[in-house]
Amino acid sequence: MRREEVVDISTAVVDEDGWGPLSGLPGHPLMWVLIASELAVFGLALLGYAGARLHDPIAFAAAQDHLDRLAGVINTAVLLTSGFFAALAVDARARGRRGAARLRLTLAAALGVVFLVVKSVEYSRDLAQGFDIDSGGFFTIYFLITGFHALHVVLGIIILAIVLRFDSPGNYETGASFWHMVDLVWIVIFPCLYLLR
Amino acid sequence: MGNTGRLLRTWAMLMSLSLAFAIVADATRPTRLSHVALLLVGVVAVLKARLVLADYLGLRATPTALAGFSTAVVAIIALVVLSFEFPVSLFARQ
Amino acid sequence: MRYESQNIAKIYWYGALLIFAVQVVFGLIGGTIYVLPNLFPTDLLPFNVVRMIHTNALVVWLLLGFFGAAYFLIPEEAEREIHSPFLAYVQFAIFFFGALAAVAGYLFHIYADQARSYLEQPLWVKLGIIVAALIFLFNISMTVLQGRKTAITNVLLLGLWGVAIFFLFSLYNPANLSVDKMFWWYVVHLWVEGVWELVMASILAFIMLKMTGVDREVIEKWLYVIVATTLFTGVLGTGHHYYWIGAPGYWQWIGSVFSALEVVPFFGMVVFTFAMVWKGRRDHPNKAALLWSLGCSVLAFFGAGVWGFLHTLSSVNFYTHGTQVTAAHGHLAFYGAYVCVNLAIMSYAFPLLKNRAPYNQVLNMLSFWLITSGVVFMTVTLTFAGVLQTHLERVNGIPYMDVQDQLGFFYLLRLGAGAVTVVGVLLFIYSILVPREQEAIAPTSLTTAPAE
Ligand code: HEM
Ligand code: HEM
Ligand SMILES: [Fe+2]
Repeated sequence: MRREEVVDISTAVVDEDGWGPLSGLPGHPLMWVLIASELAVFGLALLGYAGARLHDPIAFAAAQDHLDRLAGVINTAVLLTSGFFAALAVDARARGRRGAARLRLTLAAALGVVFLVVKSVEYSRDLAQGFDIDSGGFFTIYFLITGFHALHVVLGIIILAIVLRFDSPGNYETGASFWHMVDLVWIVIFPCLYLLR
Repeated sequence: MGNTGRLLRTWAMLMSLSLAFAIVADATRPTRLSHVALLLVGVVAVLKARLVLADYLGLRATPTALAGFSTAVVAIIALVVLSFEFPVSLFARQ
Repeated sequence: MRYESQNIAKIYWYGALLIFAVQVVFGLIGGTIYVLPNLFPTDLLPFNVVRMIHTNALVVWLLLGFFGAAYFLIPEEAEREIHSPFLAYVQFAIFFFGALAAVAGYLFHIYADQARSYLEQPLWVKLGIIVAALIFLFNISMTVLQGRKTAITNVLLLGLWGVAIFFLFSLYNPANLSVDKMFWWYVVHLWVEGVWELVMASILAFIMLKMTGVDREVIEKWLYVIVATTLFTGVLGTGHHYYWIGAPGYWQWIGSVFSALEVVPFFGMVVFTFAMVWKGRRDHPNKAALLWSLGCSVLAFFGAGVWGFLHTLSSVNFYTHGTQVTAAHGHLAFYGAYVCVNLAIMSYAFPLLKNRAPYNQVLNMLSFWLITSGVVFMTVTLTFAGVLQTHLERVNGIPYMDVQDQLGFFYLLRLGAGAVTVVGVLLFIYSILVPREQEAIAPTSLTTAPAE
């Protein structure tokens, strides 16, 4: 693909400006609207979790003990490493090294798949123990929050694939920003749901 | 190349902090964490989130945005951690 | 006005204003029945029929208003005449005839009795609406496709296509009551907290563009942010209607979290309109249109945002569901968002369409304050009634009708405020339709007037 063919949704809009404070952020400004909205959603959900737990701390603690904390720690490492590769990819693309950028972004996406595999192993164990989204209490919230996050991992992998296809530097920034947001959300929800007790 | 170096450093720090998590929170599997452990988990989470915001998301270049997003993350984590210090007896229904 | 076919808007808005009058008069009749249940013979004019006309007429005239707004602003944005004015008039004839037939039918107790508020039209009227909508979408899409594409027309088209697509769910009426309600909300909620909001945002953006002189680039960015947050919060926000209808329990979480954030786009619209007016500093002579636009964003924020948030968390809604709190919210939200946006674009456009530089601007603004105080007062009294009702009925467990007996005073106040509202509405219609020889605000005084 020749350079001119690359559709760059980022600069096309940013250059006209009018985005105010959003225009200084890396990637497409609307991605930052999305990132802020996602943080708000997960934030509210976690506050809801904190409130609900207070109503029944003992049952919540008991339910929490069924989680596989080690799997959570592994997944944290997987996602953070994946984010590392995504950041490297943006860096490489900005310096015009398209091939290297692609390789790194592919690695980032592949680690996303690893995350999903670990997560599904966890889910299947939870389900085997008889816990699902309708269990109420801790497990309803746990499945909602982590499930919604996992959906974002899936969506992120799709976005990264699109970036691999339309690989302008601006698109790299936009796609990677989404991916890092998924990282960030995990960093916040993981300790709240798995570790604090 | 400076950028790669910094990203590598960030990644290494994130990894060690995650390991710290695992040790603080997971080692003995008590049903409840001590006050200190709760606080540590919160602090570590905030530190990690800040690293991701600053270096992965690149907000180091825009301090206002970094401050805004960090504040939001701190607020969320602080409230959740605090809820564990809440005297439940005041709250629970009889 | 620059395009001949913008005149199509006139007939739509005449129709809309007529039905608007019918709508509020039936509201007043309903309010009277609350206070004097036996004033009207219940077999001729039962409350359910009055209520049905009140709410169905509301939706119908708002839609007519949106159609008119589209026909008015699309030629200017697309920089070309409407694809087929003839089709536009055919569409009007079908839609308006359908609406009148439906209202007449209701009076003779002919309606789709499926307990689905707002959607009680008999099947053949629904099909007529769909045919009219298809004509409309074809007509405006062709116009936009062949003309200049702007963010405003794109968002407007997205919204209007959504209006038509979600209406299709009204045709499906499953036997299972839970499923039935889910589909009903696909229409009602995804309309007012989804695609109608897009229509509202794009009309406001158009007015801001024309009246403040702020750059299109800036206005478009605001529009994008508002659209993004609307869809992000509104779609899953549907869950706030799934709490107690037999849907799975996790909807309590999804609905609470997402609908709580529905406040954001409404707040965004307040900031948007005020920022544009402040930034623009262009003294546009049409103060009334500006008043309606600013009033729209503010009242929508209170009616939808604040009054919506009030009862949207599942732990609160558990108590308030279906009380007068809901009716309070319904009034201020519908009025602030969709009545006001319609009256704003009409106030902006009619002087241009009628080529009437001076018009009854002061009367128009007076009508704004009359209607607004009326509706706000109705909202406040209903909120008090609702809180009391919640406590007596839901907390103390007193039977429904016994509680209603204790709310009589509030219903009396609501009736009074409703009468003020009706007067205001008639005044608005008069100010728009009846010419005036000389403008009450002298043009010279405009340069010193603050831009709100
Ligand atoms: C302009 C936008 C809006 C309009 C026109 C509107 C209108 C209405 C109407 C008419 C109803 C009553 C429906 C019925 O049961 O027959 C209703 C219910 C409700 N609305 Fe809105 N609304 C809007 C925005 C919002 C927003 C933004 C929120 C939340 C923040 C919200 C929260 C609710 C809730 C929770 C109910 C259910 C009340 C109950 O359980 O009885 N609404 N709305
Ligand atoms: C701009 C003006 C108005 C708008 C947008 C409006 C909107 C609405 C809506 C959306 C509902 C359904 C509420 C729900 O399902 O919870 C409703 C019901 C009703 N409205 Fe209005 N209305 C308006 C004016 C009036 C006026 C002037 C009156 C006169 C008192 C009135 C009296 C009523 C009554 C009695 C009901 C039925 C409430 C019930 O079923 O308990 N409305 N209106
Ligand atoms: Fe809703």
